[in-house]
Parts: sequence; structure tokens; C-alpha cells
Amino acid sequence: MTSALPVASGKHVAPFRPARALGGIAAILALLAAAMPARAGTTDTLPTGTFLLDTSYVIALTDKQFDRNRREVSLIEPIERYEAGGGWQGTLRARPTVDMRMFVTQLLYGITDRWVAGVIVPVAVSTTIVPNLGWTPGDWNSSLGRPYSEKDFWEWAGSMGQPKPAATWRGNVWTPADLVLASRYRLPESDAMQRLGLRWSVMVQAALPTGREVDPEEVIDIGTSGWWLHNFGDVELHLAADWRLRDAAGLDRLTLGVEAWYAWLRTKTLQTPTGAKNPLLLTYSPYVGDTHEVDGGDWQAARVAIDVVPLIGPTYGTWMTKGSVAAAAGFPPLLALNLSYDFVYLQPTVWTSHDPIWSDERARYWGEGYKHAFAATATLSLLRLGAPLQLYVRQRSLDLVAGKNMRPANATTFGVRLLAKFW
Amino acid sequence: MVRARAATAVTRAVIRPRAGAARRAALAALCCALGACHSPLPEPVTRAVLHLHGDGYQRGLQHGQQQRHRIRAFYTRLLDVALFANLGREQPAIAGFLTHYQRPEYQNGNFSYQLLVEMAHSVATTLPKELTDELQGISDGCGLTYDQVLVLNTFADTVMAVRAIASTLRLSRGPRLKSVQFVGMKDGKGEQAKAIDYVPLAHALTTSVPLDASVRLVLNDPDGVDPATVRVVMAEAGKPPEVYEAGSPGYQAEPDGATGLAVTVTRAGGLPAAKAVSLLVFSGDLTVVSDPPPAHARFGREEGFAFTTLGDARAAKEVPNTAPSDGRSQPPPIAAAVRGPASADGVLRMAQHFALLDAGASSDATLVLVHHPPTGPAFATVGWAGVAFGFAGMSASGLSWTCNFSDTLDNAIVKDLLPKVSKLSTAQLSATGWPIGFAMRHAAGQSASVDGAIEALSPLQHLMGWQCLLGDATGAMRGIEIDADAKLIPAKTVEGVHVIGGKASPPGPSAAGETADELRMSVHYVENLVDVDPAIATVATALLEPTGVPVRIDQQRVVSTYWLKSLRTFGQLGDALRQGRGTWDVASLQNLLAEPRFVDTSDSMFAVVLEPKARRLHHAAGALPATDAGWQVLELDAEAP
Repeated sequence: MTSALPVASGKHVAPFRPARALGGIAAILALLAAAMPARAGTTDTLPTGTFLLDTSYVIALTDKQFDRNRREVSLIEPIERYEAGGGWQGTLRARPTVDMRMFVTQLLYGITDRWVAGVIVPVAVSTTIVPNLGWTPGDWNSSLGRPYSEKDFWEWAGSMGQPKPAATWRGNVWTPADLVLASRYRLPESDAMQRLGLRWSVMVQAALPTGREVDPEEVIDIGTSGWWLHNFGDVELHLAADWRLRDAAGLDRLTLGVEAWYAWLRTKTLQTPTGAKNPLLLTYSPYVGDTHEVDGGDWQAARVAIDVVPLIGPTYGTWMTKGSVAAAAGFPPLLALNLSYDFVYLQPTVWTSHDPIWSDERARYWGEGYKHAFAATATLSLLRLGAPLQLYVRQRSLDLVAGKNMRPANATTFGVRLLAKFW
Repeated sequence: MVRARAATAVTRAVIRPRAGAARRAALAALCCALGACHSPLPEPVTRAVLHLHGDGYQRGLQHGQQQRHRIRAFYTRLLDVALFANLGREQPAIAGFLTHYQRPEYQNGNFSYQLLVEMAHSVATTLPKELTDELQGISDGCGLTYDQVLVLNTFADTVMAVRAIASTLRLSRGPRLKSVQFVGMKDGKGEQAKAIDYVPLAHALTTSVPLDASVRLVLNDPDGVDPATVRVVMAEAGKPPEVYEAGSPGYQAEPDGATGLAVTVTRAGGLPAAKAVSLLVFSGDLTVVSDPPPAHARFGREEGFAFTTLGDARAAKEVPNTAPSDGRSQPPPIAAAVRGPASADGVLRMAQHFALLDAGASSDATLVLVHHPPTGPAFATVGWAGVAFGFAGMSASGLSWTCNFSDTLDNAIVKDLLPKVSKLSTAQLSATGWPIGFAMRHAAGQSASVDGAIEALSPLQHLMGWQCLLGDATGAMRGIEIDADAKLIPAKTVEGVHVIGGKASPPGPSAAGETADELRMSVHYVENLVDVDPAIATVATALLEPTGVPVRIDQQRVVSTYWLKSLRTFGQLGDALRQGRGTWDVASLQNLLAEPRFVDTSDSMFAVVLEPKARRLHHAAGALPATDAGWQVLELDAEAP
């Protein structure tokens, strides 16, 4: 039997900090690359003077992460708790689920036929985190006459000022995320490229830090900045090319696109928890420092996409084309399907603080890694019918093929695009 | 002169990608093509070796500056978050007893720190200036206050002393095993043998018990014993233990008087013939203690005893009480020394696996300090960042030591409290004396020999109970048992050091060594069997009984919760030393320390194998358990960096 020495602690090896662990749930923002084209070409732009307003509702769910061995593990590591002299109290386990809802508005403008610029305004509608806490009893405790149960543990913790996390956390209600500015330029094609149906483009985008960072003192929280969404860098440079197979009527029936991009993530300085609200779990600042730095690690990514047109649909001369059927025939088809695969290589995220061990532990699941992202999009375009609208639905999955050191968020997007030209 | 063969150590598992898979290689190639080849980041250090030069302050300053962040992490994680918070839970109980601790300065979460810093100040009054200068240097180097550094360097002793008192307060209210009767055993007159008053013994309680006898245990508690909490474990050597509890076949319980419970255990098929059998008894009462939470019954100390059955001709004192393990406890620390015919080549070697309170913190902060003072020999200690000593060490002259705590009420807090016992309500806890780590450093600076070290240690006032092994380059070895030597009537000289090997503990199965060339220790006294002055126990009982506080001030074997499990591990260590007799070298001792029966997987802190003659200190630390960290060697004969 063990005797309880009146001291206790928990291993900080496994911080109970789902918030950070939940970072990167994203893959929720379609952003320019997907919103820009009427279909899925990776080089599409808008006609000169045309506005495109894209609004979408995104439901992103995640409940796991892939570790360095590509094994599926909980978003939160098991936390071994010790009562020194009383031995191992037990292991706190959690299998959190995260449900993030986003409302994304994108406004794009065709400066020229080759050059488009836009602003993307993502706003979190809400985030719900259910920690699903569990417990594995530890050593026999002779003072209690039993091993600590989960209830015992939280009562014990409570007597030292450490509250039990809420069974459900809901936050980020109508909270802005990082605003993104983007611009794509379709580069001039040579004669040969034109003959072969090849196009290429360059795109840059930059995020402005309008998103919310987490409250460092909270055990459960998730921010809305790009770092937390983990779906776009602070600055990105894209190079893309596509090849289009045109039918006799001049319609693109099949588009194959490739794209490569580099995302740079700036180093952030974050407040270190002091333990003011969670003394047992989040007292870090005395040795970690008042602040610490997180270098998100840059990404290198590549995409292949295929765009097929199963249904062109009827074409009418309407007010949009001043009655011209021929002009309307240049609009996107009634139904377009797009399939894409992204490989995103993640450089390691590096925490820097006064305590290398603490920093190392933060980075346990943030080492060098990669994502495999598959997406399918169906777009219903009503332009040929006289309505300047496109409706689309997209399903994006990051766990069809296991990634490494990443948190897959599977997202469903419902969107609508409105095109307008005022001059 | 001293040099570390491995100046720093990286002991955490290095993350390495698995090699081989073509797909992985393809991905890596793609990543490299994208300009993203990365080598693994360096792993953080959880064990370091640090050489310190100059006077006390300078060495402390180097220590503090070079380990600044590790010290702050260790202090925060072990003391701020773990110890202070949990010790604070004891405030209502202690303040109810000693009303001084109801004062405002102890409120709002300040109780633990305030209590420990006050005791640390009383400790500091005994320390020489060079040591307090060194602590000041650590403070100046790392940015913690002097008081914080002082607490960090004294809490092991003071908290163990507080713990001994708190544990006694708690257990005094739980059930006690009053008597043991072997039903069916006849006395000399052919009548049922009377019940034996239970006394904790390191050897068998009785012998030649008939095979058809049942064991009747009488438990007593003023609040009544809860039958549902009673658990009896019976075992014979080499067999898995059998558990008896409410509902088990062979288990019967009935009231015994107003506050007692008689539990009878009958083994199916009878007791084994000609065997030593041991029993373990655990019980709780009918009360519910809800403050501090979680709510629980009051439990008594785990008790255990041994007996032999008919056919075993050994006398009771020849049969060690090696309580059975029911898998509910971790082993306490161990230490052993072998030489002559006991070791592979006749050379003295010492080994220790220390465990106390890792608390998820200490394994990240381990530190081997090599002091190079301006005068006297260099010396090395195995400890933690911010702590100026270790519980194992070696001087460049070869004097080597290992120390394990020994849970006793003969500690400096009790000693300091004695003059205040008539005014307990206003008394304040203090602890005047030498922490063991500083005491051993003092001894190492005074002498190269075991006898000289004992001579240096003997006049010191010690804070808490400790058991140390001493060895030197000549092959001399001794065990010493230390306490605060608290006496109701203070003696002129302190007699807090008890040397193992006297008349009370000749070599044998219950002794510290089965031969003159072996020594073993866990955490119970072998020589110092009357650690608490009986007069203190008598007076304390007389004073406290009228107040309704049933505090049982008594000897270690009666009150310590470590005592029984220490007996168990001590016995196992004796078995191991016997089995390996004549073969012990560094590797086999390292293997011994890593055997699961000697590894506290929750609170292991470090392990060492010491070779005094060769001035080599092998250490494993920086992981939990320590022996998982791998071994490194420090050669004190080498040239200092």
C-alpha cells in the first residue's frame, strides 16, 4: 500500500491543454484557389470589371490527430497524474471532439481579364468542444482505501483550486478569423501553350492578424487566427498551371490542373499561462517565461485537380447577355465536378521558451509532417439560365489517408456565388 | 581532480523516423524536392553534469547561472504546483491542532510556503556560512529568492518530518490490529492458546502453528471497524498471495465488543506444512472523512506478521517477517554494499535506487554536481537543479555514500516541539538541524575514511531519519542509521548516529548483512530499534488523551507506513544478494537496481553504483524510472575540465 505524502503533482510531459492541441483543425477555408474559378481550373481569373461575391458555411469536425508514426491518437495525450509519495493517481484521458462552424465571405474583382484580386473574410460562427474526459485508476492509495477514481481526482484537484473543465465548451461565437488578401495573375501564354491549351498563373495571398488568440489561462479554448485554423499561411506564393480539353463548341470539358505553393508562417509571441485559473494544470510562466515564441514552420504544398463537366445544360440569351445565346455559351456549364488532392508538407513547429523541455513537449505532435487532403466539389451554375448565381457543395477529407503530425478536420462546405458587373 | 566522461546527457528518447519504407522514402524525396529537408531538433537535456569551482558563493553562482531555467522549472513544478498545493490541504488539520497556523499570514494559499520557509530558516541557523553563501549564490544566479532556494534545499528533510507527524495524526484515528489468535492451536496445558497481543516485529510472531488452525484477528477502532474495508492477504514464500475479504470463502467477521471486529481467516485445505506464512491486514473504520476531499473512511496502518507451521523447526527470530505483496504498493528505496567474497573481484561496490517524490518533475531536473572547493577534496553529488547536495555522492578521496530516508517521529520537528508541549495551541513548528545532504557533504570534506565520516556526522544535530551506507577507498564499509535524537530530558550530547554492526544486529536473515561483506538497507531501522524516546511516547499519550486527540507517538515499527513494505523489500534484497553472492560487479548491480521488484515506477529519482577504490560514480537519472535513463560514469580521478 502506498502512503500519501502530502505533496502531489502532475507530469507536465502531457499538458492538459486541448486548446493548442486542437489547433489546425481547419481545412475549412476554401479561399481564393477554390473560389476564384467558375470551375476548378487552377489559373482561372474573372473578366475585367466583374465582381464575385462568394459566401459559404463551413462545418468542420475533428476528433483525432495523426502522430509521427501516422497513428491515429487522441487530440489530447493521456495525462499521468502523480501524488508524490502516494504514487500514480491515475491517468486522465480525453477524446475530445471539435465542431467548428465558419461563415466565409469572399469578394473578388477582375481588374483585368488576367488579374484578379480579392479579400476573404472568415468569421467563426461558433466552436463546440466536448472533451469526453475519462480516467484510468492508478496506484492503490492507502489513505483513501482505494485507487483514485475520476471523481476522487477532480475533488482532490478542486481542493487545490483546480476546477474540472466543463463537459462542453462553446465559444468563438461570431468571432473574426484572420482576414486574407489575395491576388492572382494569369501569366501570358506562348503560342505553343495556347495551341496545347496550357495556362499558368501566379498568386500571392497574405493574412492580416484579425483572428482571436486563445485565453492562455483557459484549459479549453481554441482561437480563430490562421495558426489555429492551420489552413493557410501568413503569406503564400502559388504557381499554377492547367490544361484544358475543349470540345467542338469551345467548352472546357476537362481541366487538369497542378499547383505548387509555399506558405510562410510568421513566428508568434504568445502569453504563457500563469496558472491564475488553472493552478494545477497551467502554471508555466515562472519557468517558461512570461511569453514564449511559436514558429509555425512553413509549408510546401502541391495540388493536382481535375475538373469535369458532366452537364452543360441549356443556354439562354438573357438580360445578362443582352439576349445573346452565343455570349451565354461562354458561361460555365450547369454542373461541374472537381476532384483535388493536396499534399502539404509541414515543417516542424518550434516552440521557444526558457524551458527546453516544456518547449519540446509542446512540439510533440507538431514535428515535421504532412497532410493528404482530398476534396470533391460540385458546382451548379445558373448563369446560362439567366441568374448570376452559382451554388456549390464541397466535401474535404484529411483522414482518408493518414497524415503525419497533423490534425485532420473534415469539412463540409455549402456556398453560393454571386457575380456582378457594374461597369 | 575530476572529469566527467559524459559531460552532458541526453536521456529522452530520440524521435527517429523508421527507415525503409519506399513510400516514406518517396515522400521524403518529395519534401526535399520542395526544399524542406529537416534534421531532427536536438532533444532537451534531463540530466546534466556540472563542475563548480571556487568558494561556496562562486560555486552557487555558477550553479544558479548555468541551471537557471532548470532550477526555476523544478521549483515551480515540484514545490509551487505540487507540494505547496497539496500540503495546503493539511492546513485545517494542523491549524486545528496548532492554532498559530490560523493567523492571517498563513491564509490565502500561503500556508505551505510560509510553514516551510519558517522551518528552513531554523535549519539555516545550523548551517555553516559557506553553505548559506552557496545558497545565496544559487539564488543570485537563478533569480529565485534566497528563501525559495533555502526551501528547495531543506524541504526533503522538513517535509518528511511533517509527513511523519501528519501520517501519525491520521493513522492514530484508524483501526488498530489488537490481537492475533491461532484457533486450534493448543498451549502447554492442552487448551486453546490465548490471543497474542499484536506487536509489529521484524521476525515471526510465533512458530509451529497447527496446519488446521484458523487465524483470528481482532481489530479495534473507537468509531467501529467497517467489515467491508477489511482485507487480509496470506502468503507462503514462493506462492501467490491469497486474498480474504468480505464475501470470500474462509472469511468470517463478527463484532468484538462495542468497537471491535473479529475477523477469522481459514485457509481452504489447511496451512502449508513446515512453512513460514505471512499475513497482511488492512482495515478502515465507519467514519467518513470529507475534508480534505475526496471523502473516505479512516484507514489504519497496514499491519503484517509472520508465523511458521508445524514442521518448521526454526525459532521465531530466525524467520524474517517478509510481508506478502498484494500488488498495491511500490517498493521503497534500497541500497546495498558488497565486497570481499560477496563481490566478483573482492572490490567494494555500493548500489542505490532512490525513490521519494518524482511528482512528474524531478526526473526532468536531475543534475550531477562536481564541486571543486578551494580546500579539501573535490566531491560529486547526484541530485537536482537548484539543490546543492544529493542523496548519493563520492569524494575524490574515495569516500562514498548513499542515503535513504527513514520515516521516524524522532525528528527535529518533534524535538523542537518538546519544550513547547505545554503551550501547543500557540506553538510554531520549527526544525533545527542539518539536512542529510549537507551533513554528508560536511563528512566528505572532513575525512576520506568511513570511520572519520562517522566521527564527523556524530556530533551533528540531524533533521530527520536517514539510513546511509558509507564506503571508502580501503574497502571499509558501514551502515549508519540517523535520527534527531529527541529526548524528553535532553542529553548533553546528540546521539543521532547509530552504526550498524553492533551487538543488536549481528549478521543474519533479519540483519543488515547476512555476512560481514554485505550490507543492505531499505527504509526501516535495523539497529536503531528504539528510535523514539519511550518517555516521549508516555508523556505525549498522557498529555493528549485528555484532549481527545488519540495520537500514538511510538517507534518506527509501530507507526511508520513504510515499515512493512520496507521489510518486504529488505527481504527481497537479501535474497538477491545471497543468490548473486560472489558475482557482484558493476553491471550486475546495475541490473539488480533495475529489477521490477526494486523499482518504484511512480517516484524513482536516481540510481547509482559507486566504486570507491576506482573513484567511479555510475549514475542513472533523468527518466522515470531512473534506471530507464541509461547509465553514465563519472571518474573522479580524471582531470577536472
